[in-house]
Amino acid sequence: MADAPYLRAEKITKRYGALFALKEVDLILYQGSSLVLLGPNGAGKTTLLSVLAGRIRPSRGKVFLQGKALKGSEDARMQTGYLSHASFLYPGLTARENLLLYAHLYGIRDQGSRVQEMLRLMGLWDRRDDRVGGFSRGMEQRLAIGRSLLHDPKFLILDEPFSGLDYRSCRNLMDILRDLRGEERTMVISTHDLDVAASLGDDVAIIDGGIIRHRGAAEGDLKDLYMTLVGGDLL
Amino acid sequence: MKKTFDILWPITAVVTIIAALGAVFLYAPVERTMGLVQKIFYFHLGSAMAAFLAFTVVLVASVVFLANRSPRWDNLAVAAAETGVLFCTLVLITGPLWARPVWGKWWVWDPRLTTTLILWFLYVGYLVIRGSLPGSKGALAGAVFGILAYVDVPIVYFSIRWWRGIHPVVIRKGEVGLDPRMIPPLLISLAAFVLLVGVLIKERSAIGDLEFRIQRLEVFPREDSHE
Amino acid sequence: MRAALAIAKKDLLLEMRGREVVVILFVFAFLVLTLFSLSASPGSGALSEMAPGILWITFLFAGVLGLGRNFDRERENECFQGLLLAPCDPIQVYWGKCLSTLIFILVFQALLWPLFSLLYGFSPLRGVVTAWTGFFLGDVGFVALGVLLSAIAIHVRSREVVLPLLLFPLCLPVLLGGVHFTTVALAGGSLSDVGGWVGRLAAFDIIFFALASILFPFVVEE
Repeated sequence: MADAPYLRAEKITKRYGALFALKEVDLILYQGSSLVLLGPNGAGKTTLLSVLAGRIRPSRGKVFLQGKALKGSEDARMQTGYLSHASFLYPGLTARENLLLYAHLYGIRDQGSRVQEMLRLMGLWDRRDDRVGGFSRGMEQRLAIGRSLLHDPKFLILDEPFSGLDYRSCRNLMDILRDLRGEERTMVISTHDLDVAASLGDDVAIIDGGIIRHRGAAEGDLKDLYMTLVGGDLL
Repeated sequence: MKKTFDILWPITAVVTIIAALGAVFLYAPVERTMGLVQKIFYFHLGSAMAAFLAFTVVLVASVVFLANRSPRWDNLAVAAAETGVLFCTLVLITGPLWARPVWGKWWVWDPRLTTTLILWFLYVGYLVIRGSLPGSKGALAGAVFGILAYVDVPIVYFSIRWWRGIHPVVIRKGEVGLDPRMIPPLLISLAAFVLLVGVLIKERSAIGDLEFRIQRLEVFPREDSHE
Repeated sequence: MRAALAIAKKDLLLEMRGREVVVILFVFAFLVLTLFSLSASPGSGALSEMAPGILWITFLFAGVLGLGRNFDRERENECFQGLLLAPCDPIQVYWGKCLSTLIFILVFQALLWPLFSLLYGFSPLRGVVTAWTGFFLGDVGFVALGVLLSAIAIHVRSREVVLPLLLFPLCLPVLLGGVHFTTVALAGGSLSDVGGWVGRLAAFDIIFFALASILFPFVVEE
């Protein structure tokens, strides 16, 4: 693609005391593409995604979304949907109240109907007045996805969205993600699951020790490639 | 040039300290009523001045750090805070040591001493929060708290003064008449403490910088040592 | 402004839902009040002299517990991050939490005051304007600093101890001012008898609210 990249991350470094979570990471994403980020625990996946979402300020390096610097950009945050293991949902509030709060914070017009639409889409309409504290992990995750999509973001960042989900919820989520990909959104998804990785995105990047070791198309046998790069010495 | 300065400063400090000790014990007259104990005053005041300077450095370093996020300024702030707490502790020790023989009491709740105690709590709190949070979070937390604490101190002082105005102090802090011959030793002592606090902050800050450089080199071994 | 109000409303809604704990908090504050009062030597005039001080120290402890609860809710599921990720200015989060904590403390004080007046044998209406002006001014200062410091300490392990350690020395003028207001109120004085303290506490509030508003964005960035 000859046009300018949707997202450009340059030499992203993140330091925590003596520990470097990310070391001079470069990343380019084109609009409408979706990238799967693979890597072992502690590789820097969550840190990288947090930087891309604007949650964490890198110690060094810059991120540009559609040419504009991410730093302090409200526009960028309006365009970005973020989902992590933490759901950002208040257990004491109902499903509807949680979404209404976020609708309010994101300045969505016609909050009531948008929230209703999202709850129906996620299959949570009949649980709308139940407190999130009583939800199963799968339901909570679905509501969290609803929350992240509420403001119709062009850029979606999903940090291990499948973790803790049962088989049925996983399949549901994959369907939702497939639909989203069809809608020309730019996505980055991190996962442990090498089996589904290839079907989740166009590209794959493997990160380990804060450095991207591989970037390429999401095809072929990723498992061998992964083990070669990441090494086998666990436990 | 910098190396000369680095060596000259501690040497000047040492020389001034010796001069101050000489001036205090050999030159300054012994106070009539309080006797030898009065000489604590030179160290008490000197320590107070040192603490005040140190905490001012914390304020400046905190503000600059918030502006440029340079770790060197954070190291400076921590160094100054540690040194400040040290001298503040000395003030709190020398004060009662003086008060006991002179007034018969170890402690009085007068505005100056009480504010110094609150000051001590505040900057100990600074070190606590700085130590409880890792890396850059700790640095930001410290910078913010360093600014809040500094702004708060004069307010605390005046609050206690007005408060005590309603509840008058039982023991009057009598004005210490300063014999003119006490002034040069006082000035030399103050100078000595100022130089000393500067040296301590500088050295402690340098240690912090060195630690930081070592950490960076462990990860980026080929990085040029000049930042 | 809109976001701040939404956040404050959410906080208060959650507070209402967790009513049982507020009751326990209230009983605890009552207990503290009782213990302080009992420990003063009986028969001396010391108790009534110390009453305003005892009341305000109880407020400080209850305030810290209230702040703790407020931010505990934000820690679950990392909701605080969720709020900060929204496109609104981070300061809205600060203002929203200040508002909800202020209301919480005022309600708490309103419940404690009649109890206090009962224990010390005076009418709860005595000097009510003076006392409550003091409560309000003191609360604003406490909340302005408390919310900022709670955000700093949100992930600190020993935060229940660290928060008071940082907050109490900073809030000393609030304590002194508040006690003075209450003392004047109980002696039957009016606002004019409080003198310069009205201005001083108000100045404290303005200075630290403004300063905290400037510093809050630094605290919450990573």
